[in-house]
Amino acid sequence: MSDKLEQASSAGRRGRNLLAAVAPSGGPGQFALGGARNTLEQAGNMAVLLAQLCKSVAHNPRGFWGDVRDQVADMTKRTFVPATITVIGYGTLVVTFAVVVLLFLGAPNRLGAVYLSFVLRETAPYLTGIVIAGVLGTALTSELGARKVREELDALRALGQDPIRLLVLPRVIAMIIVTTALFMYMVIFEILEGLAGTIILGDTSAGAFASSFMVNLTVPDVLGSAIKMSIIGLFIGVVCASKGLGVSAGAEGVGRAVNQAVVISVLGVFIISILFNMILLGLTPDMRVLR
Amino acid sequence: MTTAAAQPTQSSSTRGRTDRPPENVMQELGDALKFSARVLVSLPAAARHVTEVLRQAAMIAMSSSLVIWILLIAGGVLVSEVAHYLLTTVGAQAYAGFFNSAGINKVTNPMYFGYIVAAKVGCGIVAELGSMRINEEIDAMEVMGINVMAYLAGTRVLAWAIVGPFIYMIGTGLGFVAGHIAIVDVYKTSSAGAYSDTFWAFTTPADLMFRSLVWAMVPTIAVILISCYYGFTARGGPVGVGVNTARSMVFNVLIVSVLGGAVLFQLFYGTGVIVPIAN
Repeated sequence: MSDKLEQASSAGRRGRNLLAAVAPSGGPGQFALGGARNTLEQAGNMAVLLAQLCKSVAHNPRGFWGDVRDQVADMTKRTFVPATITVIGYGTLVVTFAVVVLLFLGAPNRLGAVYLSFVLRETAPYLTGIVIAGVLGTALTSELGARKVREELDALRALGQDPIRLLVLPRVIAMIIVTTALFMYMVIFEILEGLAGTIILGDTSAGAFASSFMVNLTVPDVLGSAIKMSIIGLFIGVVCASKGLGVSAGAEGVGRAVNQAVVISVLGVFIISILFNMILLGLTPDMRVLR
Repeated sequence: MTTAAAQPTQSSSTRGRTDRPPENVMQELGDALKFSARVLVSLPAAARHVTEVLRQAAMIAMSSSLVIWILLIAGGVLVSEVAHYLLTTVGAQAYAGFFNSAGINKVTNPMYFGYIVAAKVGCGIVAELGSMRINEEIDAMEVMGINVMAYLAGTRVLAWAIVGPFIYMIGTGLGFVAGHIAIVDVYKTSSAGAYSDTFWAFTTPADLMFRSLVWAMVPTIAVILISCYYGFTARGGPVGVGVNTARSMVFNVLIVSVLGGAVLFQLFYGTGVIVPIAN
């Protein structure tokens, strides 16, 4: 890691010299370019961390799965109750809205299909993303930031251990697993909420909901959403770990790192979800048909 | 419980029970609500610090508004995507405007606004006030006789009350533009005229200005109050600031989901999304 840091810092020095030649200090040009360079530097750090994680897994894919299991248990304990409360709160909104819109269009018997597509593709991914980023992402950043501030990472390096493999890798893999699992749980919960909403508010029966739902459930939908949640879990894990590892010293270092990590995670969840949905819906005509 | 002799005689109103942290969730919730009530009571005193309110408002506007607008634009694009694929299968492409109007104003905008404000503004306030607490700046201000509740927390609430509605309305407008571009130019669901006609037929001023705005502002003011609480009660060095930031985010997400999603939606719309036809 240290030689990469040296390479990065010398590259940064070269970049800064180039920048000073192109954009003189002061004025709006430096502000825009400086901000862009800062953003690119942070994005580069995250990419370097991702590459280190992949390399660590590829070199020796054994030895950390016990930690992964422990982290999955810890993360599930932390997110279960907030996820349930969030899905109950937001689900009542989505259910009421979907039922009323379809009653207005005159197609309440298609509520199963509509609700399925809306929940599976849009609502559940971003609700899961918000809960994971808010609960697990902040905990990951603050924990790694605390270890950096207390110089535990340096102590591990002095002992010859790789803190990335020991601390970051199990947590990132556990975040991928927990994101996908929590997504499945939230989808099931929201579908049951939709069923309850249809029976109570809509003019149709539970049979219409269930049949419309089961007929329209396609494999690309479920598989694609699972892959999307894995990507989102990986994104949140890498972003929050990178922000936690790069905490600056001082009283507000850890707090500021948590703030930036959670903002980037929330924005990233939406953008990844939108882009993935566009690609998935464009590539699979199977999903675009309502039966 | 500490005895009367051990408690400081000057009521250290901002500390609460700093000798021991809250033991469980209900105590934490109670502490937060007590703190929020005290901040709300001190708002008239905070209104005297006009320059501080304006400075905080400027800081919020400069640092957070772009992020919030990006998310509200993403919300508009998301609703347009769902509208396109849903209405094309049913054959109701002409009503893409209705779906966008109802979806953006009712389903996505207030909730997304609450989540991103909790992430950016809320966590920022916790980090800032927490580091002030760690560096004992809040104690120094108390010693100087400044009412820290009003000066630190009350001014931030007032600043958000000034700037928040503007950020929200501009973001809503940007979301409308993004939805228009997505439906008409990207997905080509319906023509510009049909989209605009149905869109503005189903958007009432009361919906937009009153219900949507109040529905967005109430959870975010609660988020700011809770963030001030977590900032004031940071303890244990820089690590404590980070831990409090993480805890505040969990709390804020729950507040936005329950208060914004369930309570306020039922309050404004009940079980009938009001759709004015041909107003």
